Amino acid sequence: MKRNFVKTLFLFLLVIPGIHLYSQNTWLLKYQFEKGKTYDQISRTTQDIVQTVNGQDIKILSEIASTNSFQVENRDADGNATLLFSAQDLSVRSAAMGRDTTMKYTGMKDKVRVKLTPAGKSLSSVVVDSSEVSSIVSQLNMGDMRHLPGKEVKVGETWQDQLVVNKEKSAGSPIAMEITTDTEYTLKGSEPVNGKELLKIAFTGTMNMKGKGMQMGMDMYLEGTGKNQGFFYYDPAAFMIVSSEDNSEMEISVAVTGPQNLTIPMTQSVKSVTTFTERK
Amino acid sequence: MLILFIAGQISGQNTKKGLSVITPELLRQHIDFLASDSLKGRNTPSPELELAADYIAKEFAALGIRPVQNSWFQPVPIISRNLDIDRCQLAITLGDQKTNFRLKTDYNPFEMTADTVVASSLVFAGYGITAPEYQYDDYDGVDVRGKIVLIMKHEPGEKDTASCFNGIRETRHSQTSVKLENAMKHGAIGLMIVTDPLNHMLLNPQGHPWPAFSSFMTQDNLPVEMKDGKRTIPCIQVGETVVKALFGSVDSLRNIQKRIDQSLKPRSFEVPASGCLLQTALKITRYPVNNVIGILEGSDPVLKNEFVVIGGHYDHVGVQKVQRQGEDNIFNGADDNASGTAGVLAVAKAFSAMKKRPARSVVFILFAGEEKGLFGSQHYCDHPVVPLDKSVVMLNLDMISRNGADTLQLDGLAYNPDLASILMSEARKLNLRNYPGEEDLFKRSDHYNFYRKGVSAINITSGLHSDYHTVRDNPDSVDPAKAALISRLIFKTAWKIAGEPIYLKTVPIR
Repeated sequence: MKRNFVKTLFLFLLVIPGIHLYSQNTWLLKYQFEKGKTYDQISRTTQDIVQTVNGQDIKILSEIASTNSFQVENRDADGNATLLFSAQDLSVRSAAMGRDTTMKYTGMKDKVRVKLTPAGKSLSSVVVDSSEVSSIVSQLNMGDMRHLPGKEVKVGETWQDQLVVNKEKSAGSPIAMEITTDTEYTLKGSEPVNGKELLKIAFTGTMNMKGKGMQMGMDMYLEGTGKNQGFFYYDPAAFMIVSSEDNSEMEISVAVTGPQNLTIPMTQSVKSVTTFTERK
Repeated sequence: MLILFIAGQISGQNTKKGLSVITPELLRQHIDFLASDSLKGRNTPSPELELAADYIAKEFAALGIRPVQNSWFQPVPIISRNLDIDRCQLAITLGDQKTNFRLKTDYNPFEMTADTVVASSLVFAGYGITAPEYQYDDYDGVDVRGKIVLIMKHEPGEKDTASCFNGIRETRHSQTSVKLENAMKHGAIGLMIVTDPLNHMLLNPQGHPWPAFSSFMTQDNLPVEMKDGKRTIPCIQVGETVVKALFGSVDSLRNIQKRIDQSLKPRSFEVPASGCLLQTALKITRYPVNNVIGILEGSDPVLKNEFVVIGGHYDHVGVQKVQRQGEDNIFNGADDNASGTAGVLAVAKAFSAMKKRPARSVVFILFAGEEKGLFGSQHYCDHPVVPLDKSVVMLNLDMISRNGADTLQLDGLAYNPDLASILMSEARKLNLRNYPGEEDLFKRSDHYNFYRKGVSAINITSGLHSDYHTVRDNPDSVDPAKAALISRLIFKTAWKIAGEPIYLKTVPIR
């Protein structure tokens, strides 16, 4: 019986969302989390994937909306903060090949405890609790924060940042990936947003990706390159990012070997908008 | 009247003798050979698939089944295509300035490109779309016959919810294959496609990820396909360097795109004083792959020119290339579909064991390339050895040896009501009960190609299971008694249809 490979690949593709999210460094002063404070994090990511199989373009649209919160548990003398991230609501919509499905989860119990430097770099990350949808939650990169430069930057000044992220294989993602991002940030200036004077930082970057894994008896390899651009607002008074918008495009080559040999070109466009609000 | 009488006599003949030769031992014997490690998963193509084909042909010969046109084998044109990087070229002349572009860096052929060279002037044709339903035609006012055309990807208003096309939902016109077809329809001899710069950041010449370019793919990582003989033209994706050479800058093209999107009027034009030499070259490898076909001629002088087809695929998916220490890497395909192949051979043996032949002729076909895309049956249906309009039924056996003693899954009952009625009636007599599977498998095996050609066709299976397409689908996991029982069902059904001038209607899929 012939396997339905289109369906197989569709399942495979769902592991790719979130590759770029927060994968580029950002800029600015530093985080100065205050113990006891709680923030709500609302993210909305839309993603278009086009893969070409046997000359036919297959388009997959997905939308992921998530609400998380994090509580500042501690800040040590070096300024490193311990944050407890809690997933709350999640909605995942995918539309492809005439099917349009939405999965909604509420009251989730997934929790991750992370320790971050003042620049937002992760010192440790421990899953505290998980649920039956933890494989999806793991793709949200809960606990990742944009990196900041940890210093004052003048208006108009630019700086570079490179980041290498290794994503191990997991239940939700059978592909181990290495993602390298090179990002240039520019402090555009300050501007009023919702009655607050915020700093706007724009960024552009390039991404390179390599991956290897196995799914349904097939070895899979992928490599890709991409670009991203976007901006975020930083509240210098609160030492905290307020919102961010990131647009990225990647071109990925996928090779499948084993029971079936396939080479698939794929393009992925992602738009991600995130806001942080302190809970009063 | 006489024909009907004779046919009725034959149909009524006791099938006991035929049924008696369909034994679990016989099924076991065939499955053990076909799914043995020495056949390495019977991949299409592979030397082991050829061994399996020889085995089937010898079995047919031993049963007194005859070959068709003096051969047991119907060649299936299976090929793989890789890019011949040394023979690809793209050169563009503007006035007296000629630029040679580099493969991969500046341009990259698409998968559906032709193995040929073309030369002509260049025409820019917007998005390359002809969409009368949206009163939009990029080819309006330009003659591209005998010319190489440059177009953009996607469609007007791609990110615009108010786009007259279909808002932000792309229509079929944005598909690369549709654009290629449209260019050819307008007489173009070559096609260059560039990512539209207004809505996209990446202007790389992505094209197809040919193994020839890749640092991580092995050179044999090529899909096999069936040579379809469809005409095509050189078709490449070009990148930023080509855009700059032709338009001066990416911004110039972006501005043209903006104007097209705003006005929905074509901005196509022949590039003045231009010339283009485009060659895309392929290394095509052909593989020896065969369907195996035998025929038992009918006894009735008229009805013998009508045919009952009994088939299944004999290929599986081969081996896992990367062998991990201590792990099995052979996909033996005992249930899928050594069991169905064994079933066809057993039914053939039952027919040959009968004292009299049935009125209609019976064709036994074991297909290659099913796992790669129903290739063998597609080729057969395009090049049948007996007329399809005289083939009254196709009974397909695919995975018949699992999931309990009395279960059966018949795929396609709703589209074949007459055949369904006969099969269900015979199944009841054998205490086999139909359990519709969770997945609709009607389009996923060889019978479907027959159904598409108007032949009443049903897939007979014992259904999917957790060992499906894994290295665990081994001979020791099948139930030969179950395979024998389903084979008896096929024999009884086929015997009935082969013996009477009954005609089976089909219902189109809605």
